[in-house]
Amino acid sequence: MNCEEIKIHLIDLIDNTLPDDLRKEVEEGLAQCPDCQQEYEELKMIFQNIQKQTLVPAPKALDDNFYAFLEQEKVVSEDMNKDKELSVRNGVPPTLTTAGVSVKFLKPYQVWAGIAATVTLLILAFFAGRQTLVNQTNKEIALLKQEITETKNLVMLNMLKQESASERIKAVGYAYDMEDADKEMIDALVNVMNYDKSTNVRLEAISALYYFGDKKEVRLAMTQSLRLQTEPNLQIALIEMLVRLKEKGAMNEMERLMDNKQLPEIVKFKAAEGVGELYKL
Amino acid sequence: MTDEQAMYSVKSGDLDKAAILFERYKHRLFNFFLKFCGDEAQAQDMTQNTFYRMLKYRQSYNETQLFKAWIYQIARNILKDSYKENQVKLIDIKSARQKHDTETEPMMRNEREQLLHNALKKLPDDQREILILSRFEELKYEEIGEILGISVANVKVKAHRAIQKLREIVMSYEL
Repeated sequence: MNCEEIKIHLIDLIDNTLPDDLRKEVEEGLAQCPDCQQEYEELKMIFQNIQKQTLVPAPKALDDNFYAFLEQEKVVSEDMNKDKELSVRNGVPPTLTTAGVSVKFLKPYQVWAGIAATVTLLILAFFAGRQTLVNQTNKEIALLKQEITETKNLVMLNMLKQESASERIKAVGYAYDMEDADKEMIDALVNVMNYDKSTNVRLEAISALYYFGDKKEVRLAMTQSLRLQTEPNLQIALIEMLVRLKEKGAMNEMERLMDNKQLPEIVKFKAAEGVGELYKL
Repeated sequence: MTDEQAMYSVKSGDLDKAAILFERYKHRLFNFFLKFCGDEAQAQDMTQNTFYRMLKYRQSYNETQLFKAWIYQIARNILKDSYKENQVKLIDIKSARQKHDTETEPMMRNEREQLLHNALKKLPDDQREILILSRFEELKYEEIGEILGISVANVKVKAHRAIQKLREIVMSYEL
């Protein structure tokens, strides 16, 4: 056995994973080659040092946080079972039961602060207007209202471009403050649902779109998205939302998922369940 | 109760069983992250996130899957996300750490450990990862294969290369 062959087996020799005959051969070769011996010793020393590594104990705070989160998750999981019976659109976005995700929406205080000045103007304009012409005031109010909406939309659209996922999630959450979403907003949300690099942000977008589920184009976009999503929890979220929205047009796509052998069982099961629910309608 | 049975219970709604898995894996996952980032606070955050995701995505756990492989896959994704999302922040932390390194790091018990840690940092990411998994976390090649989605033979080749590379770096320090 030459040096090169011996060196290939040195790590296995230390790990004691060589078959007997091969081990003997390597050991014999090793005894005759100082160079190989040196490498053997070096490796052994490294392995010993690795073994001597001290395990740093996990901090106590980790325990506290985990157990707090576990309790929270248990409550959420109970709530979700009750939540299932709630109507589709009662102003509160649904929690995603199957994915086990509790979707919490951040308070958009930043936007509120940003538009506080506009609101003040609105009030001032209101009182000022009352003293002059009522008609003119109404016009101004309408204009200012529009301005508020536009400002909010602008803030949201800009925030969707943020690098950090949590900022984008926040941006998506603003959708819940909107009474109505225009086409640009819907397009932006659909784009996030389909293409955002973070699955958490995509999931938020799905929930936000559900909120505008009374629009046909939203339901269509969600149906099409079934084809694009590859993450099981997103697929399941979409199926659940579409069923709640009673979107019969999604049946074909769900059947396709049902028959896709490569998908996890849970997704196929949910798709089948979805098809069953929609069929009943 | 095996890890897989515990995780299956969690998936079926018995969330309390998650505590078993947390207790079994918290130290090793914390040390796994610590080896990568060298920062205890960051390692704690990432360990926490791993268990949060374990709970949140419990439905995506497949009973036939090795739990260990599944949880390390989550851990790897968290590591990747943090690299992607906080590139700037990571660099900052890195440079801060470099300063810190020249002083005495409290987690380093002795010089040898420090030396090994420095050598590990010099390895390319993929080699460092495979080395941490195989030698520090003491995972079997089969388990690593499942985590990384590559064959056992391939894991072995990569692991051996990484060890040799580590040896070269350590030896260059010794001289």
